[in-house]
Amino acid sequence: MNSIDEILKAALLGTDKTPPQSVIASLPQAVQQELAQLATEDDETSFLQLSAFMLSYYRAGQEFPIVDIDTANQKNTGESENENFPPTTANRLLGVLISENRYSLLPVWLTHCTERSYKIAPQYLPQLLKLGEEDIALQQQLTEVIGERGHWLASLNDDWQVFQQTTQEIWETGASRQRKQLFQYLLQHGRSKATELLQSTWKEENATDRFDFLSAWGNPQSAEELALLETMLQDKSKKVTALAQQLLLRQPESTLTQQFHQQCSQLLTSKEGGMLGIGSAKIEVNTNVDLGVWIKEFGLESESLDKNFSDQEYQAFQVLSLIQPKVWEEQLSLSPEKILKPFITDKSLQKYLPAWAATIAFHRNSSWADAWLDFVLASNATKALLENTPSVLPGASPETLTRLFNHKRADAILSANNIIPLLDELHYPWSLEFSKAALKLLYHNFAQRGVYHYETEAFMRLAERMPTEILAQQEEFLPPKNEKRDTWRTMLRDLFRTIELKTKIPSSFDE
Amino acid sequence: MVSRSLGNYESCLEVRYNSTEWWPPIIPTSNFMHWTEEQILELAPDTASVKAGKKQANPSKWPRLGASDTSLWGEVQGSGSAPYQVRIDLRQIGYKCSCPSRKFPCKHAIGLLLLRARSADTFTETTPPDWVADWLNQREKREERKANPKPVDKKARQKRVASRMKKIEGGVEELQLWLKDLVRDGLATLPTRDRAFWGNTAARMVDAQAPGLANFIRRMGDINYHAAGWEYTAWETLTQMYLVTEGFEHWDSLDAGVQEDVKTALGWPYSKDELNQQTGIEDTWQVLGKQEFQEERLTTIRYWLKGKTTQRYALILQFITPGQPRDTSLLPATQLEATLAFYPSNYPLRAIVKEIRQIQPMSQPEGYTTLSEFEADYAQVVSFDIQTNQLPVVLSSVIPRWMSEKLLLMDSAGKAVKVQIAEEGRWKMLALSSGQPITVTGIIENRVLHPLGVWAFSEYHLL
Repeated sequence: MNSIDEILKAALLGTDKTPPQSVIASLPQAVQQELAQLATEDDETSFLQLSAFMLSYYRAGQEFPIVDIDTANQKNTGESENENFPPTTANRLLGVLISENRYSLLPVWLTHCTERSYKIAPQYLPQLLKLGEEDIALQQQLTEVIGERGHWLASLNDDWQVFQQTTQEIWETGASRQRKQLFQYLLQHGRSKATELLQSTWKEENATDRFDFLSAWGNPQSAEELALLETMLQDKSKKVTALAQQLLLRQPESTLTQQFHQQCSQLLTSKEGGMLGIGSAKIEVNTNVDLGVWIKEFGLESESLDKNFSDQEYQAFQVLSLIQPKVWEEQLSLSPEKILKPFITDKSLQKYLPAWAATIAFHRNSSWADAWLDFVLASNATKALLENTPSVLPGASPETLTRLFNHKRADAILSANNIIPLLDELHYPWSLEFSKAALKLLYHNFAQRGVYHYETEAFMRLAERMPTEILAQQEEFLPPKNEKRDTWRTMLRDLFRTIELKTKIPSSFDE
Repeated sequence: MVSRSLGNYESCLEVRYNSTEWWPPIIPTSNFMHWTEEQILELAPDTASVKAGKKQANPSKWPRLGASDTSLWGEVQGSGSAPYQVRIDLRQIGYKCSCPSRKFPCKHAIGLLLLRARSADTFTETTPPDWVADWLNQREKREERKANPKPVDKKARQKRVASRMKKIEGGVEELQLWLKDLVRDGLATLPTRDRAFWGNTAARMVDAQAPGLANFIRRMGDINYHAAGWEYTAWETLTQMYLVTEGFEHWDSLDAGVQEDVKTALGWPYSKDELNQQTGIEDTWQVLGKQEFQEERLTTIRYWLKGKTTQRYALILQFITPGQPRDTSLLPATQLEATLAFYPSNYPLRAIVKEIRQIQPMSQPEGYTTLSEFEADYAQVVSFDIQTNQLPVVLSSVIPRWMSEKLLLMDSAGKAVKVQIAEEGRWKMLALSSGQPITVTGIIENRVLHPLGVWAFSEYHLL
């Protein structure tokens, strides 16, 4: 408004320099007539009267601008969603998961949502899209359930453009972090697609990415994948070929493994011990076997780095730590217990015990890990045996681990520093008995010390594997009332809260 | 009625009230079962309490839980050896907890409410124990006492009014001279003025028992003189001050409503008893939202309401000093069968709650279908009261548009109002609309909308 601009200019300069009459003269005639009716003592009063009069007009006459509708409509039209939103209970539960930062349960909730063909309720879209910005796995799940509304909303925000991209586009143009997240997600939700993508760009990837992708890809799941893995032995990167060798060594049917086992089959020899072979077997490590080709092939040490080993013994030690333990069951016609026993009891063989621990851990052989733990739980377990046990544990069966966790010897093997990482590795669904044993162990180690901040994320992940029935047992793991132990109490309640919410997710969709 | 952002001026008027006396007597029933977690968390005094309250909403922490039609109670294990006893009056939301926290409501009370909303089945007791029943009785007795206030000594009051008027007269005369000096020297000199220039004049207005005028002066001192457009703000404030002083000088020729607005602008305190003597306006009052401001140690909460039948808007103010409990009777996204008493004004907006009879979940608010309709009403309001800067509004059919990094609300005629809102709320509004017309509530100030909520999918969503 020009009149207001004139008044403001005059106001800035003051009535000494700009008498109000000059402003009044520039105003519309009707306004001048109104102002003429007011009595004025001096210029200052005249200016204030003018201001008061014009302010009212100005404020009352303000209008909102008209925006070009065609321009506005160009980008901003979102389709009306079919409104097939989840039931109220499920929606509320989603709200709780978000507000309580229980993001580990979001994939569970989203899976149920997808299975029932629901679309996310609009009020939760912004928060979920924001979470999906940095989490490709979540983004992949969300893409299924955000509907047209969510895709329209994402199109308005540069940070959410990833929701507009196809899997292929993310793979081809995404940042390294995004591509690795996508690959990891696809391995769990469509491995063939992950393999296809990896093959399509394998030659263009740099060595670090090839190594990372191959690590994530892991053990081949079919004959085709095995063949693909064998081609990677020819990779330009030593790091990649070493990884491919390791992965192939875990595959009994691979050519590499078969050749390796065949040439090393005489590394161990046995004689049945005792009358009629009922006693301990006598096992020897045959250091005369020529292992040179494999030492070179796998980049192992040809000279001993340990004064307790000769060079030949050290080569044998290293090779033993790579051979599938199951091979020896067939080769020696002995059970894991009978093979392991002399290495535990015979002083001359005890130095090979770490090699057994390494191969059991490398091949994650459950029956061998269980056999190992049987010796650990026996009354005469040696120090060397106990020291080498932690690496064996992830491969052991839940039943054997339950026995260990409930045994007093667990303290000698597991410290507060390696319990949570160990449990975090056990991805299978936990039984009630196993969960109770694990919680008992955790309580024993952490009730006093508390769970450190950096451990909490892994601690909370344990909730994903525990069964609902554990909720009824939570009192067992709370310290007595006269003991504070607040950190533990808080963590435990948080853990149980996560289990409780996880339990509610399926039924919340049944409303 | 003067209503502007962050009113020191409002503080001057209201800080003397103890909020526990300020709020209405009794609500026979309340529909707590319909409260959402979002609404419950609105009761929390700060974000730390929200987090702590959520942690308490775990049944395993509560060895004892009970609920009746009018109350909730529970025992929660705290850091002490004995559990804390938590009780909540659902008739008029009130809390008591035996924990030592100075926050109100404490995390245990918030946790108990959340727990009730999430898992009502865990509240197994139905008869309040003595420690709950006694407390509920005490609250009822206290409300009865409040309903029968002491009679007003009219003579003493008249004497006080006359004395105050005389003092204000002196202040107004002085202020008019001061304004003329400013106008003569020109506003261009304002950026060079030091704090004492504003502070001394404001202090003299406080001495003259016109704290409202003092607040105008402080606002002028607080203007950012480096920001574009400061000239208009300074000129507008100066002109408003002039209008108030003129209004006071021509007191006898003013309409009663305008007199009240001038009194309000001067900072004249209103007695709660006076307001309570009004019959009040009964309606279903929809609590559209709240705004909270922190100014030094004083927290100001503004609750914006709209009557379903009368279509009137109302502003309820609450002032909280440190350590003072919050009254949480007004819960955004609910509607109250209630009676409000309005402060006298040409455009009565500010009110107190006289009585709440029932609380329900909010139904769809009705409002303007076009911005032109609002403009017409706005013009009328500002012609009544030159000082009104903020007006609540319900826009019934507007489409949020995200254009050039700005959010606009457009009506069917293509008129648009700019929206000022935090990022999270902005995307929530767009998601709820998806390019389709929705109902938006908010406050319009200087042609910018500050949204409070959105009605979509048969639900009111706070922003």
